[in-house]
Amino acid sequence: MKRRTALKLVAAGVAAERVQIAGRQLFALAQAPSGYKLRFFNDEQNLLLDRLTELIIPADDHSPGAHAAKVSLFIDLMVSYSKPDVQDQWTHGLRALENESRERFRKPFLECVAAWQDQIMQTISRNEDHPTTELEKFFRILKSRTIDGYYTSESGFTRS
Amino acid sequence: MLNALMTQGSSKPDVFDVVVVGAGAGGGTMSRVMAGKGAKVALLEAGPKLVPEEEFKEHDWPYHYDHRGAGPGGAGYFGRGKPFGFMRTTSGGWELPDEPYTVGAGSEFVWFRSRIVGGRTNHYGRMSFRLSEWDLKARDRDGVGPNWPIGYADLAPYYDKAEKFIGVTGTHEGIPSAPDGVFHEPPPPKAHELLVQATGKKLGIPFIANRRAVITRSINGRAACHYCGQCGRGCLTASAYSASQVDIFPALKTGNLTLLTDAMAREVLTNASGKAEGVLYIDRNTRQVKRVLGKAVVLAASTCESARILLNSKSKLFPNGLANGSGMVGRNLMDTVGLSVSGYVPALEGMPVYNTDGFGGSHLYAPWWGYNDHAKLGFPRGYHIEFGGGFRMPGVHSGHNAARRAGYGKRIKEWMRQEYGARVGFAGRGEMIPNRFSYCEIDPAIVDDWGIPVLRFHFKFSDYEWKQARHMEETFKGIIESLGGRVTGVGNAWEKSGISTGGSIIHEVGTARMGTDPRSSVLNPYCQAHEVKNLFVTDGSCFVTNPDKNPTLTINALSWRAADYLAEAMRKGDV
Ligand SMILES: Cc1cc2nc3c(=O)[nH]c(=O)nc-3n(C[C@H](O)[C@H](O)[C@H](O)COP(=O)(O)OP(=O)(O)OC[C@H]3O[C@@H](n4cnc5c(N)ncnc54)[C@H](O)[C@@H]3O)c2cc1C
Repeated sequence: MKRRTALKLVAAGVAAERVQIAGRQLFALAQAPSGYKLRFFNDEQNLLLDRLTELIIPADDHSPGAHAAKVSLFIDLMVSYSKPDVQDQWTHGLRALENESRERFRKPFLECVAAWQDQIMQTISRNEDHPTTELEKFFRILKSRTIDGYYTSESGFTRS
Repeated sequence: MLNALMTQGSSKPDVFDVVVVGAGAGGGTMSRVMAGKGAKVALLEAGPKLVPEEEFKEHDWPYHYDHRGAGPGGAGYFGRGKPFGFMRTTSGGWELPDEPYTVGAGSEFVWFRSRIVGGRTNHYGRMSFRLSEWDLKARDRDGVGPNWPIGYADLAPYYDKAEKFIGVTGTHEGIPSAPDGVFHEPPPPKAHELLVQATGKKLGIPFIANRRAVITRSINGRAACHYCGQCGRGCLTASAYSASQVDIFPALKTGNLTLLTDAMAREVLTNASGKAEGVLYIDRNTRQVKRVLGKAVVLAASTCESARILLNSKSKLFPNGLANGSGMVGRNLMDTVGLSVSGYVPALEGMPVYNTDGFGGSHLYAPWWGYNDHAKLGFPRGYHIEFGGGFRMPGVHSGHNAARRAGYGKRIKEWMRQEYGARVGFAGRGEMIPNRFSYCEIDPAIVDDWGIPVLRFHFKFSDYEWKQARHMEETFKGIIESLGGRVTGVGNAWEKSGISTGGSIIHEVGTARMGTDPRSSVLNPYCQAHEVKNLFVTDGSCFVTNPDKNPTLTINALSWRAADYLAEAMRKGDV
């Protein structure tokens, strides 16, 4: 809850016990989830995912990006709940992206310079509306979950 | 005082004055009014107790949760979550695993049930509209469907009482089809609503302050609404009405109300002379069959469920089910006609994001405006318009459309900023005329997990409703065009055929209708069974027609009226 809303709540003459509840919820805000442990991806995959989400929603003058909002951890949690075929789509997608990078630039994606990473992103996002290749389909699911994770994060909510 | 005639002494008598079944709008009102008069009341509720402090999440943000509101196990992604999302308080849904129902061949019908103290009122939309004389006596005008046996003059004093007690916002408009009430001041319109209002004026559609059961000044120890805008999640301050917090919890403090939770009523018990003597129920915790006895029995288990209980209460005296000599129990099932159209309005792009102070849902709505035009409209009854838009609470799924085609990178953020608040949606809510193809009955082959025979539904809209739905579609497209916008979708998931699926608007009524003639109705105009003087049904079952007014305020009013009548009858020794 924004401080303003909370103050309003108090000003609105909310009964004392209610304010206590509101207070508890403010406290919950300060304690937003942290200390998350990966459930599905390994550290290496998570680093790659983290970079990909930041390329989709980068930090800019306006607000932090997907990296700061820890969007890859949200994706990990959701993928961990998904059916095996969806989980495969993620692991295969990450692997295919890595292969693409090595084929085109002879380097792992994370070691590519920004311009190269951008070229790969352009390739995979080309057919967003009607994806056909494995990588195009992967981009679509990656982007959807990134948007979900970012625009429900605290910075996505209050500063984006 | 009434008290003198009713059970004295211990707070848990062997025989209660009144046994009420169902702790929703109808049962909550009945229990509160009767307990307030000194009657000893037993209230049976199939669901568990409600603890608002644990259940309600109206002040939570998605980022309070690792799953960001997708729900434990990511349920929201897999169609397994709560209806309307994790943050909503529901305690029920479209399917209750232990209580199935069936649908007859060729019909489609869905049945939303809540199982908890407060029933569906903990999270309902709280749209609160009065029926008008125009609604109640519509047959006199157009010859279609039945009239109600009561007129506006009978109902008005109870609308007054109900509104004063519950608290409903609104403004005085003098529109004949939408009678004014006793109102709390409504919150001011939001920016997009003002735009719609202005366009409505051009089109001859009046958008006026919404009438919702939310208080904007403090009454009866309830705080005025603090405008968090999340009424559908439940309201910790009870500023938004719920039967649990506003009727039942205070009534428990009188000491006259005994609340039995996890108590699944199976049938009404009758004695040799045909009077009701109590209710047979199943304790869901122990699976034991128990009975609770009362001098009067009131069913308010929700429309259809009350019909189910009556139909399952078979005896030698009542072989077709209790109070069913007319054969009308389960018949005349109606829902509301629904159709929605969504649009995108460039004029709203890039608006500065502001804290949209107010209650949940729209601050404006349009009551039916075409009441003089039916001869040329080609359908007999009207609808009102509910609409949404503005800066809505984001959640998982809500940004996909906006970001689609924006590729990746900074453009997404720019585009999201640009388009946040530019989407609008209009939903029609129209009257359905009862027809012989729409009813519920006991499925002869299937019982639920509690061994109770279940309902089988049959449902069909007629030409009247289809024509009305087409009018909705054209009207909403026209509004969006007039806003300079483009239509982005017609019909939601329930409306793929061009009209809402029966039951999906969750305004089912009519399955034990009232009337003056026992041959064609189940209840008299006070919701009292023609055939069983000490039996009442005070939920939406008693409705004769289903005007475009969402039913709950009328359930509150009719239940209150029935309670006054019952108390007086008990005082006189008539029941
Ligand atoms: C999402 C949503 C939005 C809505 N919006 C609006 C709106 O804006 N305006 C409006 O007027 N209406 C709205 N409604 C409809 C409104 O909720 C109902 O009209 C109203 O709650 C009906 O009151 P009731 O007392 O008949 O039934 P309910 O509120 O359903 O209460 C019935 C109670 O009886 C209990 N029960 C059922 N069977 C048994 C049994 N066998 N034994 C014991 N107990 C039993 C149930 O557990 C429940 O608690 C909405 C509903 C939903 C779900």
